[in-house]
Amino acid sequence: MNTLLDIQNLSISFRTYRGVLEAIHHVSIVVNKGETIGIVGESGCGKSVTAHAVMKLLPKETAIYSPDCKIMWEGTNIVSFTEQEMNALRGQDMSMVFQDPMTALNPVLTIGDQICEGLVLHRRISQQQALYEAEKLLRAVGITAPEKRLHQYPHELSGGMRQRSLIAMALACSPRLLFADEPTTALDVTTEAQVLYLLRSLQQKLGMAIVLISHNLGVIAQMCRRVYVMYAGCVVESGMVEDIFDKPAHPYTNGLLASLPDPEHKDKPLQGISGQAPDLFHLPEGCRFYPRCRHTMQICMKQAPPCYDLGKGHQAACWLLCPERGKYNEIT
Amino acid sequence: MKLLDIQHLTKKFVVESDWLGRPKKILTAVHDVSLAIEAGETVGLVGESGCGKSTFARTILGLYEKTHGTVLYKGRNIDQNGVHADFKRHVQMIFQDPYASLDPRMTVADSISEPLRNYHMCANNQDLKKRVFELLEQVDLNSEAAQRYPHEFSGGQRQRIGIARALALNPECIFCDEPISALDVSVQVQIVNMLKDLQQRFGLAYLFIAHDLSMVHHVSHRIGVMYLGKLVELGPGSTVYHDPLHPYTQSLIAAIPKPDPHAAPAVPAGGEVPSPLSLPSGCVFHPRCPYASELCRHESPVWREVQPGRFAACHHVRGGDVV
Repeated sequence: MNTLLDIQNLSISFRTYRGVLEAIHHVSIVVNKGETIGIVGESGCGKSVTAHAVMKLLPKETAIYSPDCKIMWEGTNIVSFTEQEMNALRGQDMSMVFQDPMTALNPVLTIGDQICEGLVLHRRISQQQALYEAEKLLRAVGITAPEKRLHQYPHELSGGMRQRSLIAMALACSPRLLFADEPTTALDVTTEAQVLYLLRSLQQKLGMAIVLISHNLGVIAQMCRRVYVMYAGCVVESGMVEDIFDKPAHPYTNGLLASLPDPEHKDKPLQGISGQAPDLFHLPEGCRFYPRCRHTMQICMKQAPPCYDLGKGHQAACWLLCPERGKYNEIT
Repeated sequence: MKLLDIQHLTKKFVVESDWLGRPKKILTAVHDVSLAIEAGETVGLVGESGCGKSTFARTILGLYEKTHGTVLYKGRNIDQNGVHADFKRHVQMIFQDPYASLDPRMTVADSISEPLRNYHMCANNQDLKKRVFELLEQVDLNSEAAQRYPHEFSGGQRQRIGIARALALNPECIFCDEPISALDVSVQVQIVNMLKDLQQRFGLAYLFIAHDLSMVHHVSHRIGVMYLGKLVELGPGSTVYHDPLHPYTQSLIAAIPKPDPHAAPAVPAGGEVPSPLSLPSGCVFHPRCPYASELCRHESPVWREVQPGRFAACHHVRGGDVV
């Protein structure tokens, strides 16, 4: 069996003071062993919620998992796992690198203490041994003078070093799956390139799977084998990275790609996407993207499109791909 | 004539002073930067966080008091009586964070009309209202927006309100400090396209500050690159992007992840940006520079014109090459 994580029909709702809000809707994602997949989309599309839902890091009081959803971790459904069972998984088998390295680190503990915590808990080794391991980890993520850094506090490190420490912490117990939630968004381009390079080389060495969440299409194109594009809580397109970038099938993916400036054709105006992402409380009926779409048809406003298979695992949810498309008149 | 001519601008901050108030630690955020902006031109300014690009813009506008240097507005020194008021009115700014740059307790109409009131641009309330609606229309917001508060708008719409406010006094130049970095990709394009439209309609000049080099390249006629408070390279947009001269610009461009799965992965430059409080000797980039020589360690390179219209501060740039 090659599948590590199989998310089926995951829907997450939150109880809010304005009522119940569905943040992600019928999301299905497969992660194979040792593979890097990317989840791309704009803010509020549910990328992070998906990752947090798998790790079960969402607030228990407000987050509701849909009854028919399944999160299969190596064949076991972990939706019904207790906190104790999850604790054994988290850090050990799956871990996470968060977006903002300043808020993800505890300001009153040294870097060494924070890395050791997971090691002592999961591996049951002494603090002394854990510190020794932590030093090795810091060296592995490319931090100079790790013996000194171990005893420093997060505020004494630069942004890049904090992100590296977070990666070291996430890798402490050699997890098989790493969620990287916008790991480079808070960093400068040069540091970003260093962190991405580090993630790539660590993956080759350790053979873990990475779920990379990002809004930066450049990062996704460079890092991932397969990509899931999310919009307003749904996966709208998925497939191999080459298929997504070379022949995007969904108008949203197309719009995202057209939003990037082409350095070779500077004078070409950028296409972009008009309008803005919908408020999840007032989702449009039918396809969630139709108010911003260039190819809206009658049917788009009435019925959500099914997922069409385009071969080689390339799938997209759009009425344009329907074989009997001629029936629906286009109104643009 | 140059619209703005900034000469040898330096801004130092006192980080720590002793008990008599004498400065002990000084941070030079902007060091001897000269830059001219022509009317109707977009000058892009890029660099990593902390390189002083925002401080540079804010110092020109007088939001920080400058330490040295002169700013000429249409050939006149803005420190002279009378020139400053004129300068302030015609050079406006758009800020990075559309959430923090609007007063949450003022309606959109209040925010936009404040500069109009301050400069007595409208004779009566009728005129004022008309002008506000006109400005809202210019940034593609409908007139209902006028009576609403900032929290009712999304990031992109707030940035539009900020732009409408900056346009209120018919400026000649707008400083855009990371105007799109807080926005989603699809919304970034809307704002960039709008800025370009406005430039064509009103002949605006922009100082466009951002860290996203590919977007800066898309909008700018000329690009300046800053590193640790110094301008290291300046030249026509496409040449700087496609054929960078300064080793720092080269590493910056090589680090951009290309949105193409067939492209080779970005090459990371080694090292990190040194603390601006303890700058390296000689050329500030030498600890990270692949071309660094003994000369670079001791002597700071001078800012010179290496090719017509192209400037760089590097010992190793000769003609159009790095040797």
